[in-house]
Amino acid sequence: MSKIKTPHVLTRHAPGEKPKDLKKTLKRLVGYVLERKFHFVLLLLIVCIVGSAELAILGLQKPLINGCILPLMKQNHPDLTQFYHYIYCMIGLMLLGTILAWIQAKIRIQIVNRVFEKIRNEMFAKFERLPIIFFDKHQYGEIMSLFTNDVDTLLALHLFPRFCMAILTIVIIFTSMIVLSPVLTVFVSVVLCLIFLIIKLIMKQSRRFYQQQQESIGHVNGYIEEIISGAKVVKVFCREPAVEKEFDQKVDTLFKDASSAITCSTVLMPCVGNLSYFLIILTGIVGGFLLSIGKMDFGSLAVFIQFTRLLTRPIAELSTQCNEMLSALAGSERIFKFLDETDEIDNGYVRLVNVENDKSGNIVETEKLTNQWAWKHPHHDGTTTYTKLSGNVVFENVNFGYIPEKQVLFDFNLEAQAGTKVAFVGSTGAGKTTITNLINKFYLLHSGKIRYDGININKIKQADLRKSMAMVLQDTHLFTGSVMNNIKYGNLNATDDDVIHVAKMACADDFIQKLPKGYDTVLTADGGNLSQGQRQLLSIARAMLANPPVLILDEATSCVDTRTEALIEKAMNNLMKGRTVFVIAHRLSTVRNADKIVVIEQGKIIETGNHDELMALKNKYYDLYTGAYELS
Amino acid sequence: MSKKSGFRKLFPYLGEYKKYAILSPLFVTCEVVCEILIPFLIAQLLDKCLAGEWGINLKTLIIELFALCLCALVSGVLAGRLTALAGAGFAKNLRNKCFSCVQNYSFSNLDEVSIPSIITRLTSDITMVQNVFMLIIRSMLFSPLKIVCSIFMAFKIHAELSLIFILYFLVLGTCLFFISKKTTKLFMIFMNKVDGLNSALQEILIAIRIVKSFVREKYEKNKFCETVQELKNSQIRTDKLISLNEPIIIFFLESGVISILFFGGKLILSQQLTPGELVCFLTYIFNILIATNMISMLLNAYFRTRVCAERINEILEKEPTLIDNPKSKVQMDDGSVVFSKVDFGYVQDRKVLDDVSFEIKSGEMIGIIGQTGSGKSSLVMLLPRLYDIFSGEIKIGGHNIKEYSLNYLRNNVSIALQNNTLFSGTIEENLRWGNLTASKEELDRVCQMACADEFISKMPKGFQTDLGQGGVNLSGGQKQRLCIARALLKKSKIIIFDDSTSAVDNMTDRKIRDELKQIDSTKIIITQRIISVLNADKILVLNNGKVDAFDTPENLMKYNAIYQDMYQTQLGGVQ
Repeated sequence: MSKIKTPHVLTRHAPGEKPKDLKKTLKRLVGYVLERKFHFVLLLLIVCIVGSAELAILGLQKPLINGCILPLMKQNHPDLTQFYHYIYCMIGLMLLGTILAWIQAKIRIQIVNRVFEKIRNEMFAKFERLPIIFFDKHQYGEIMSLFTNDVDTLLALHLFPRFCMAILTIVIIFTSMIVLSPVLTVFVSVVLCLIFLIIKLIMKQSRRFYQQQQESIGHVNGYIEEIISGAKVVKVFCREPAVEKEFDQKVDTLFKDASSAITCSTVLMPCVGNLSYFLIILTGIVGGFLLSIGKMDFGSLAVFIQFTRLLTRPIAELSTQCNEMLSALAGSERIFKFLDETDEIDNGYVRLVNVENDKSGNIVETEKLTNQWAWKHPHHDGTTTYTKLSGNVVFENVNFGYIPEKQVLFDFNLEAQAGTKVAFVGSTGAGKTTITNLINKFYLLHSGKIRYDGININKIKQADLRKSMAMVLQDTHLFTGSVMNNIKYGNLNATDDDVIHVAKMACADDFIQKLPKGYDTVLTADGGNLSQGQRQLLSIARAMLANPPVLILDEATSCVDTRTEALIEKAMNNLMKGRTVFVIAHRLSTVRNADKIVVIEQGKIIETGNHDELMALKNKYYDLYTGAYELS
Repeated sequence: MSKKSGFRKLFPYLGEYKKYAILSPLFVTCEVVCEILIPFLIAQLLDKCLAGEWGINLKTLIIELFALCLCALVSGVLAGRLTALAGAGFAKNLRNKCFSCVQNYSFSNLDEVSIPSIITRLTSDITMVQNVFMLIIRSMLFSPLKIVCSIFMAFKIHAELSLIFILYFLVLGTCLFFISKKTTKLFMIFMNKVDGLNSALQEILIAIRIVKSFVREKYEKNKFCETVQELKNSQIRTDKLISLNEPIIIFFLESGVISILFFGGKLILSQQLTPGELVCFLTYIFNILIATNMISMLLNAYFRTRVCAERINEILEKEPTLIDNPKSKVQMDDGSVVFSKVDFGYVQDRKVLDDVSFEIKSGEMIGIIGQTGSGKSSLVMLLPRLYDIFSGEIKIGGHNIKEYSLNYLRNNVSIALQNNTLFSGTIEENLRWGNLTASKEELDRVCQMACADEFISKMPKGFQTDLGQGGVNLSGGQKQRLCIARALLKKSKIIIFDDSTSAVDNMTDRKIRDELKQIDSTKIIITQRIISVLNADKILVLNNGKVDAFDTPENLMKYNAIYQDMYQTQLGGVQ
């Protein structure tokens, strides 16, 4: 069984990549496999039995030929009882081997797929716990590649039993060979070592060529992606001939690298195969000589020759599989590194709880869904206070930068009273989005404090803090699923009637009704089958259903037509009623209606006040408003 | 011939590598013949040794054996090399051919196939086809030949015993064939699940901020776990079927060995077979096993990649829908534009532009406004003939646009498209897309006009700053300004800006417009911002693919409802 490589779904990754810390990674990976210890031990046991049974059949050939065939050749009526005896034995071993091999495969599949499931789930859970800054630092492609390419390298785990079997086969064959003929064994070993060296040499070359090939493939595919994505621009500028010429060059380089790499891998097998014939011939000659001088019997030689033939395969297999195992380890090392990234820090202990008023008017905690919320704040002295959730947000001397070297916000102070609307205006890059990212703790402050209803947000449990506010962002992200479920994303406990109610408030009901299946219409990924404006209305409905006291709005600058624009404005106004709103404003009407307008320039507040106050100042805001600068 | 499979239709693209594809199987044949003869000769060697004939008379036999072995090795290596050349060459030609096919596509062709799909076909599909192609030229001949030769030699040694071989091959072949056929189906299902998992992941990756802000981590995790579980179940089903191969092969190998020992042993006793020949038989049965297994692997791969081959064929067979007039020498008189009764749509029965007629004089600055979907972008894309119209006529510079060669037309109508695509390379290389031979002064001049000079000069390497793929390290407004500069560098008679200042602030926008006023080209500006077209000579108002009005801004203010509405919402309280 160790001789044939059954087709597998798996061999498409780079050979020759090595993990940095082999021992540690291996140990951790084995930990996943050993989760089902019993199964694993059973697997190893079965592998040993299958391997031995197979070799035993071969081994039995010797007494069969020596004892039951050769001596009886000259007899007229030979006694075949012993001959049959051996044959029965072999059939028994064969059946045992077949059945166990089948069981082995079943167990192995269970173990490997369980590892896959576990790693995938762990990675996903990790991925959701990571801070936003991780997603800023890594490109989508990079993270996706972890989940696809690196996880796929683990398919090499399927090779593990075969790996064990190959080692076992080599050991058993060698022992038997020594028993059969020590002289011949020494001879075979020397030649085998030579063969092994040749394989190693080819593999080494192959690895180098393969890496070159991967690089050229990367160049070619990158170029394809870039040029095809920009195909329309290529046409507009009539660059087709130039682009084709450059592509031709890149493809030519790939051709050279690919043909070298492929040559190496296609040449390996015939080399191994024919060298093993070479070895057999030598064995035949030397064995034949030993036979003719009576130092060896025919049965031993027949078995020996088959052993020799059998030996080259596990050796070739070991060396090729070794590479796959190594790249699997390199892949899992990357996975483990990802799993070891630091989580979003959450030391919060202040929780958001449902409350009701008792007879004396005090707030008390309750299990019921009262729609009244309060912050439950346990203090060091053992007392617990309840603060009603109202949505008052205060920035105190906040300093912040995405990277330590580049500060974005400088000594930022601001108070947003519960139920008021604060509009941020200023040019691109002034720091408006940054402020909104800090309120929901997507990033941690360098210094200073943000207080929510008087409580430092660092003390508030992250999930509870985020539950108490909703975001409507410029680029609206919807999920694959029905319109109904997309709106329910805001509140999983909402009923269908609640959803329809908020959809009406968000002016989305009209267009939803007109969709082919109304609320049950399934949206494709990221709402591709809706217009930009419709998607925005859905995201407003979603936020409305969440019904939080604090709202973060990033008004869209994108081009929607006047009618939809009017609808969005109406929906936004409905949404903002009675909430504390932080809005990055692009619409004049929004700004004008704000209770407080904050003009930001390079991370600093330069003007605050309401519309009339700021207009009277005739300063930056006045310039912005009268159209000298873009409102964004 | 429509039933011809996708693969065979691709074979002509082998081109100059055809010789390798033909030579390779020849060497493979040579290898097989040698490999089959070797055990036969070894059997003779063994028998002679057994008979105690060790000595001089074995010399020829040994030399023959070594020669065969060497021959097999050399032809094996050569076959491998030739296969590699044929495979890599095939892929090279396919890539080049597909790429240039796509370059000849019209815009409507590109819309039809969709760009991400073209990319997959050019990258992973071609790689898959290449791999299977190499497997085909190596194993298509190798494996069946090995089987046939093994059976033939066995037949020569002992006809009756070789019947076992035939029986053995038939049963094993049928088993493996059915398994691989069934596996293909399961495998397709499995691949679909993998795609599902990836797209679910991608969706969440993009919307991670929403997930976090609505605290839906647990909800998403549960959903994801379900997907993973489904994938696992599907994978287990596929794996189980594939792994049936293992016990089946063990069974056949060992039952083959045992039956040969049994029948062969009896034959030896009745003096019909020599012990050496028995050993030879054992080797042949082994050959058949490996070869049959190879064929089943080949079938598996072939079934799986048929779809890829079909998809590549689709690219190669698509006819460009735009007919060029490459030899035309017709020149433009000026930058005037005339639309008369133009009807246009992307699909046959849905008109996007309906009976559009208007005239633009050379050198005018024209604004185009209208709601989303009113046909603004469609209209300007007709000028450089990115799409052909259904009926009516478009004249530029006094001639119907179909009279010009595409190259000439597009060089004289420059357009800055809505999505501002830049390519990897330096800023200068990107700008030079507009004009390869432009002087440094011209570059400076257009950058100044597009207000790009100030941020370029702030970059550490100025014009030599390297833009990553997609121009990632620039802001949206900066990219737009580079795109404008690139379009200006063309010095064409007509320049079109399709909402290309949307991310630029009003001050800069005004500066750019003031600069534009001074050049002689006809300028056409699509915009959502009314302020951008206030000083245009004329404004074309589009509504549902029809011309609603075409007049000066002052006149429109008096009578056009759409214009008045836009003006009020955007500039209402300001002036």
